[in-house]
Amino acid sequence: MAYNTKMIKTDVDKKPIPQFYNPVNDEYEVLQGANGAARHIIYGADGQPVSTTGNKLAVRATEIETIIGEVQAAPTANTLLARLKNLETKVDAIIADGIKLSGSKVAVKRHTLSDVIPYGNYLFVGENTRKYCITGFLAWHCEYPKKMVIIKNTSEFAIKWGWCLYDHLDVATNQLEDTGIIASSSSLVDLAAGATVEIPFDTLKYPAVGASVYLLHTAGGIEAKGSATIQFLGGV
Amino acid sequence: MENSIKTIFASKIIDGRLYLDDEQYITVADFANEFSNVSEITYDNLITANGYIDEEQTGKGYKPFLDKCKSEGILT
Repeated sequence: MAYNTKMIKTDVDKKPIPQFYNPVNDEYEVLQGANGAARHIIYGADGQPVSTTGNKLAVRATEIETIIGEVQAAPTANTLLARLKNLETKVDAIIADGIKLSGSKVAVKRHTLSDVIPYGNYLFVGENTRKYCITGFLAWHCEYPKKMVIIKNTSEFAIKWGWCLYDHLDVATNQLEDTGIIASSSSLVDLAAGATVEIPFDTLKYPAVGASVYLLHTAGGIEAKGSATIQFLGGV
Repeated sequence: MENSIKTIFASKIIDGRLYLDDEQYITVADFANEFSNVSEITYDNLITANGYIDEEQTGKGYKPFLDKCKSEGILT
């Protein structure tokens, strides 16, 4: 039967109330609701009611799924994907640097011989280029009992390297004093082009306040100069 | 190139680092860059690219590593 053949619902005063026609039951039924609003059913573009799964609308935005799942070389700035990619890039850089540290408190000082910065009365890094040699100096702050020197040969030829530890630093001049040598490498060792070497120092065995690293470039002529990045790490 | 390096030197690679000896290492990417002009990874090609002359002029400095790899059958 049609809706216009049925009597609508009325209240106590015989006035129409909010209602809807139910074609299944073939009668008008009271419109129900809660919190001041009537109940509604959401229909999709296919004309069918949108179902629910686990009390959530079973609707998925294709665009959102695409963004969450995709891998972009250059994601839009400030998006979650961009921030994750930025974080990934920084982690990759840390891994590439080969920094391995232990302990709960770590301080890292990194100096490149071509861009040396002097540090107060405790930390000092210097560069001395003469003939075939380039030399890096450092005085560690004594609060870092664990010490490590990392050398990366950034030149295109092998270099030879050696090290020397000192127990005395002239704080007035920031110079390590030769009279304070407590240990040194037995000989110069080859470091291949592009390669890295890590030199951990046992502070108990060698209570050094400073170290120098000698790099000898072997490419040839008197004007030849190697290049290397030296990282001096101190930790507890 | 990097994939070939990873395959050939697999036994000497830890965490992306190719260990030349107990202390010295290089990343696979840097190693590939050092020998980017090598068409095929063989002992002879790498030695040529390394440029070793004598104990004082060791070129790129990879001869001891390459010799060891050859003796271990990693390089032919």
